[in-house]
Amino acid sequence: MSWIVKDASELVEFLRTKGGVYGPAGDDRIVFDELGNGAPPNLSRLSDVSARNVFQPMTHYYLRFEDRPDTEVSFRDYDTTPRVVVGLRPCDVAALTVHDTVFAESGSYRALRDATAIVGLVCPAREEACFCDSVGVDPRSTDGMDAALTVAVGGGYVLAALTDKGRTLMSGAPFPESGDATAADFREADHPVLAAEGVPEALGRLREMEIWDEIGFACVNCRVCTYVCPTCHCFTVTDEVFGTEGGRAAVWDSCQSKSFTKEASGHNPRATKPARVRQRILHKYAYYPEVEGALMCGGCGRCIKGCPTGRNIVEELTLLKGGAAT
Amino acid sequence: MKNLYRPIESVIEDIKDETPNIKTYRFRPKEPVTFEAGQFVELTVPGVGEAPFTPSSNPNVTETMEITIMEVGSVTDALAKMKVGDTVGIRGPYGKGYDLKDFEGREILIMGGGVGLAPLRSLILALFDDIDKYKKISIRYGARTPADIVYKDLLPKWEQMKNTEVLQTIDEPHPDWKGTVGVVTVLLDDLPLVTTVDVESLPFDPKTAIACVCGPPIMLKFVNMGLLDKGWNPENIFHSMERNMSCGLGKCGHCMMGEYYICKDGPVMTAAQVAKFEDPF
Repeated sequence: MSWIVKDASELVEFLRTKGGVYGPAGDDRIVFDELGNGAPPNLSRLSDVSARNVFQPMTHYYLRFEDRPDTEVSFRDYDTTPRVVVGLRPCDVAALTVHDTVFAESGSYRALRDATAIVGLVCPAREEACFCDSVGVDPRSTDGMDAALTVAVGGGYVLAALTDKGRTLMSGAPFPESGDATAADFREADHPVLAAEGVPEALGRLREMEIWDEIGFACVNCRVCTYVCPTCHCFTVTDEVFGTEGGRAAVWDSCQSKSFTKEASGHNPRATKPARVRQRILHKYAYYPEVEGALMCGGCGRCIKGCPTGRNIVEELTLLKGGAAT
Repeated sequence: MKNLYRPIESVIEDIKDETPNIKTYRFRPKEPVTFEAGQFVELTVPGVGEAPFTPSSNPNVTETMEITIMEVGSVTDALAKMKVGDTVGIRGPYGKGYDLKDFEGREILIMGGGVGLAPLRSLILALFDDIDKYKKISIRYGARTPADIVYKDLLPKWEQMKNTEVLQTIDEPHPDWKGTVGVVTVLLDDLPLVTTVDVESLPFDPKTAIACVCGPPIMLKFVNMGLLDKGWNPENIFHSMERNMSCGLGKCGHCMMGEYYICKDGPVMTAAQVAKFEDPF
């Protein structure tokens, strides 16, 4: 079953009758946020920040208490009311399998995922930093989407329900059936892509430091690459007390931070920048593949666009692969 | 469903001073926290935070748990100010314990440095419970000064146990100290470098003996080198790896070392497992 959706804000309005709706919002800086009525998702280009915050809140107080001796400690699971995420692209949907794998044992995460329907966007165009097909993601794929939007020739979108969850979501949809509307062609871009074959194997041999000095030279430890990334999932457990109330939160953290591995004793196994730069790259392209058999990367390129010093993971992997071969 | 992040309320039942900055706490959790020697728990000081510790008590005792803790950070400093009767939280255990079945019939070298003897104590007590199963237990312990020695009252008792020896050293000469002086690796001096001599005459058979090592990273590094130089099998050298585990479940990323999560794949790692890392300690 598929429909023609002329205006994405009408889709948001309809989906809001089914649950909370999240999608790319904002103009200059596009981030995933809850969308209100009449607020169209910004599907004009890939968001600057991934939808990670929809699936792993930046700060989640899972334990609350009051600062008194006989306080009751209360536990809070994720918000698992029904919701829809609109505008996830194939790279982001592929990346979500990393969270699905890492947090598979978490009942809270599974409940959140079960309560979430994904209305994806089949990618209309390759953007300057995209390298999804280098990491085995087809930008035209609808894998993992419950329903998929495809840009239609002549404007608007063709919306197809793909799973039972997607069909239930779209029941009662006030949109005309798509009929013979056709999808617009994928717009290619001309830029270098990575030959990802053999990258995990090549990187597995790259434990020595010299090459990482070179790779990490431009890094200014800002951590933005890890905060815009859809596969990054590291966090810290921390206690905070505000007045008489306190809580324990899981908060996003970054392996690119010097304090990430620092111990109370002062010992720091990754005290140097090259060691941290190595950790990020090898976790995504060597360690995770070794354990899970898949790259920890959807090829969205946000880390490239977000880097203030112009580091480029595609160029770095190409260099590393060559470095390992020699 | 069991909530893996839920700390179990535990009352401090006893506090014993070991050294000026190390205390042994006995906790009574509201429900028993069972663990194997080598596993660790996350200890909560309410409102301050959590930190990972390996229990120091006998794993066969489940009603109470003892942990020997040095004041070194925010959680341990706050803990040091707590009193008997106060409540902390304990969650876990996490990680893998020692495979004691595999230790049976072998010589076991236990090397501790400083407060590093604390996690080994739970192993030592577990071994003592089945002492006839092991060929020999050699406890070798180094502390900075005589005042920094933990378990001063227990070490002489351990020495009395069957097939057990206790060797000690301190880092620098001290008027109160009559024994060996030098960093802890001097306690490996009786192990010959070459293994051409008759195995029967050696203190340990390097091919089969087990080493369990815990201490500051620099000590692990040199004990590791020392034992490998003396022909020990890297599969039989078990290091207690020090990392700042946060979640305990192999998710949060803090303790990652290569493809390993120390909290899940460790915290005890063999010399063979860490061999591929440039500087694992």
